Amino acid sequence: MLILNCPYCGRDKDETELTAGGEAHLKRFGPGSSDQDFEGYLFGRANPKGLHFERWRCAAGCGKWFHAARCTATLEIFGTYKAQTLEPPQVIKDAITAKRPGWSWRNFS
Amino acid sequence: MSDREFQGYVNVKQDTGQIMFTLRADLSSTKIKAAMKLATGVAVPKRGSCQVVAGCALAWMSPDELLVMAPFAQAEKLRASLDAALSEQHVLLEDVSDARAKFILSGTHVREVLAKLAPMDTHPEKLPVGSFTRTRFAQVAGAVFLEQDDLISVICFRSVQDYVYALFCDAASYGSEVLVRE
Repeated sequence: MLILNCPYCGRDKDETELTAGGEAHLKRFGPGSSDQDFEGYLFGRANPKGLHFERWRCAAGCGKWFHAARCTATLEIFGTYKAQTLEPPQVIKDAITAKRPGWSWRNFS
Repeated sequence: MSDREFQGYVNVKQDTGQIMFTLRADLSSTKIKAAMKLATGVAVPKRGSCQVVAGCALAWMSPDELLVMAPFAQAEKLRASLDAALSEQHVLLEDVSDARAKFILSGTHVREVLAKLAPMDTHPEKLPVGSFTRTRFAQVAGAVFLEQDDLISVICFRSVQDYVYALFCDAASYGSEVLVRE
């Protein structure tokens, strides 16, 4: 059971009040991109055992999409942050570094 | 709709005398804040709370949504003043009175009845008096306004009002107390 704090309404939301939105920080490859990039954008998803960045929607709540950094193995939550960003904010990175020194995920570390 | 009422260890009563407007706007804008204060006499509430002045309530639904509630008698006047105050602003204002239902729960143990149905922490530290929050009641979405320690307003869609009424009556029925200690 996950409890995530929604950065928009500030409430601790139970997993049953949220909608999972899959991997966060995807870069869109649309018309004009190579087949390989487009295929990767559509289907290429990380499925790590450990640190992961995910999108969640505060469905039975304020209705906003936000991002969460958590560990898929221990269900530990490193933090949640607003979705209007291209990469995790420094406080989230610091929180992960404190628990998982030397971490890396996609292009972030 | 009817003003039905159930008396258990918490009282559940439907309140059909409310008009409700949904306002979609940028709530961080000072112009919107000033316009709402001018139209309703109520200050735009802080995140996760509800402000009530003379029966008119402004509830924080999300960073860009407010719920305006007032007695039916004020409906026309309120609509006119909202239209006038917001005419120059980029907003969406809709009368949702017929799309919503409101129930009033009263009794010492309202927090417990709420905790039975919503996956939220109802402890006074997490949900102080004045809190307004959206959540779910069993299977359906809804909102909660903690008016006083023994008085809660519950708002849901009208299409599920019978379900929500039955839920709360069941949760409030005598014999189903969990932590009640005399």
